[in-house]
Amino acid sequence: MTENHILLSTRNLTVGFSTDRGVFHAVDNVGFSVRQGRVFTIVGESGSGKTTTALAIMRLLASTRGRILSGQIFFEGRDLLALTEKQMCRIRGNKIAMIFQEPAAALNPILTVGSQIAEVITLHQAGPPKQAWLQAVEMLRTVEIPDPDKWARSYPHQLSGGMQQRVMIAIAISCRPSLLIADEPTAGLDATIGLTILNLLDRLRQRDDITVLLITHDLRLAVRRADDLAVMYASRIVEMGESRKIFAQPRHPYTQGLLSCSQTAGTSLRRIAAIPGTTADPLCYPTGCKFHPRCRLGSNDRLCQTLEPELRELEPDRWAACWHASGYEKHAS
Amino acid sequence: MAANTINKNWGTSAGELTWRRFLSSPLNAFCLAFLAFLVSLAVLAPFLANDKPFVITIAGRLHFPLFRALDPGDYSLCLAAIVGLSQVVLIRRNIIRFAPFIRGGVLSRQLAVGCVIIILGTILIYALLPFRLDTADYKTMVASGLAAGAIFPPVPYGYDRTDLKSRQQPPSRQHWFGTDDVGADVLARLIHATRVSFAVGLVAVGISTAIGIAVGAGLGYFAGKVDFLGMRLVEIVMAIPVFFLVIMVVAFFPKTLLNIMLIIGLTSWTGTARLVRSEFLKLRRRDFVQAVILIGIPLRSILFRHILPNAIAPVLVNATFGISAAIFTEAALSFLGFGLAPPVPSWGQMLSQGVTTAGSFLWWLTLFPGLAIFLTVLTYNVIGEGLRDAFDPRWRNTA
Repeated sequence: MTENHILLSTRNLTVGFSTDRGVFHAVDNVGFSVRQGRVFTIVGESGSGKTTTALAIMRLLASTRGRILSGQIFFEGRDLLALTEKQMCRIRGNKIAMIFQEPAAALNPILTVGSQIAEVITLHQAGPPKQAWLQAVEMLRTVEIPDPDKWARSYPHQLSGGMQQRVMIAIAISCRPSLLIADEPTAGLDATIGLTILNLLDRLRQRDDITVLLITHDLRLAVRRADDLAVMYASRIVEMGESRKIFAQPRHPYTQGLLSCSQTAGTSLRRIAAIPGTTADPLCYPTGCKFHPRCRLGSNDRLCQTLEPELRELEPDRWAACWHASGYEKHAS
Repeated sequence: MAANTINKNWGTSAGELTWRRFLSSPLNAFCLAFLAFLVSLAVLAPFLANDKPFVITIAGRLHFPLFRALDPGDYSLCLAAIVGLSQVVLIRRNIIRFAPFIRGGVLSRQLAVGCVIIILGTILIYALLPFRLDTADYKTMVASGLAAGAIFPPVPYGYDRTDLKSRQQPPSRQHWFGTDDVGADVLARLIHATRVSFAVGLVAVGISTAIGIAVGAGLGYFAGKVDFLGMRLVEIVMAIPVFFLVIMVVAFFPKTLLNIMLIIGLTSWTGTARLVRSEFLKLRRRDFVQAVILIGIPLRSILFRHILPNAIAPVLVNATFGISAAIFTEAALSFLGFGLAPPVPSWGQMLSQGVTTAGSFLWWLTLFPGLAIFLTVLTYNVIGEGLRDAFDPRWRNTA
């Protein structure tokens, strides 16, 4: 792993949201590296800060109440946070594309699907509208929409959820990005349709050599698709590394819990294993390790209750933030 | 209806759906037809009510006094009407012939060509057509046998004709709606006044809607401090009592139609601005707007191609109500004597002549212009309501 292979990396990224009850950190000290040509997945439950991380990378927090409090985001060696809005616009349009959670909401209801794709195409190459239209139709064919000529002329509400997501992918790919951020691309879709969408993404990724940052709450899906994995809990990354290794031997109790949840769900009808307790309230996180009230190891441990473990490298390319993880040096610098 | 079969291959746009929903109510269709009738009255006014005949034979030679006496404004209006009608026909044809993506470009090219034709035509007409004052009284010529074969318009009186012999006459065979204080035919004036009401309604609302959209779009999209300061400005403008301002301005400036339109237009944009602002505030946070911002679509396109069409419903409804309000304001001004001065006809001004200085009450001068104002305003309001229902079908059930 050499430095120049890293396409995107964040360092100490902290995003704060100001609310009536004070500022809370939706993303706390998050650092990870996405390597060129790989699928990097962020897994976590709702409210763990996955989407906020993605929005922070795109610098799209302005429309929410969030602000990046500290940290750096490097993309192709440039600090995105140091760029002007104009330069950032150019990066968003050309280098980084994003697919949203709800395709129905992300498509303009009053424009035809084809013209929305064509508009993006005309942004990237000059030419008569007719040609852009034909390319848009071609784009729909690429994302495997049957009879693209017909569907290009229809409006978003006439498409099914899966087709809408395909259109979103078409729009994103039309930008010819080097990084594609897919924020829960299968949310709200049938399991089978979601699977075909992911397969499609995979094919397009390989064809166009696109690096993917996949954000999902579905660990099993993440493990199957991802080369690298980061598990987020309560605004922090608790475990990170190559997904196969994590799957084989999770080090953090939260990851272990997640994995056992999803495994029993498929095999046993009697009882679904669950992590006890509920997600931590972001406005009053527990002291110490944020997971300790729900943790089978740390709920009675003084250390876990008072001191928050940092994300540390246990072995090459294997990170975790747990006092009890094997290889975690409790007194490292 | 044919519209149902048109777009078999293509999706139906929100606009087309709204249009169909609007026309599905017979009341709306009727009001639209009535509006079309009023428009044709306004355009064809000089052909419907004029004291010059279309054709007349004097000393064996054919003359066309009506066409000779029309002023350049009338000809320009006719040209504009023809171009406008052809635009409507072309737009309907476009829906069948062009895919939605190409349609926008075709439409804007068409509108541009139409505007150029109207502007060039108007300039040409004004440059080439000499102003003629035709004071010949063709009716006495016909009566005295000097001329023959005269074809007069259905209402053979001009709006500015004065005839002191037939003052304040109630409706009769000669004057269907009676005559006013100076002996002018009420029906002729009524027909010509349609133009004034249309001009006031459309131009004033056009000005106010344009300003309102521009201000509202800016405030809503940029939000924050811009919005805060801008809204205070809007509130200041809103606090101005428009009617009294208009009266004051009319007292200082000439009482021309243009001035009245300008004043109404320049003061009544606040409602539109607030509506557009609130829609933009709401829409700019929607995912699809965020998505186009993210892709790097230029600001102009984001504002006017992606957001505005989604925000147009309340603007259109508001504009329709605005037209009726503008017509009403003009009528009220003219009624109070601050509006257009005779001989330019206006419904409000005719209304005010219903009660003479001598104290007698001329009912036909109150009833007919009053009815005209009432029906026009009512039509616009019904259309406005219909549009609102058509844009959001949910309201129909709750209302």
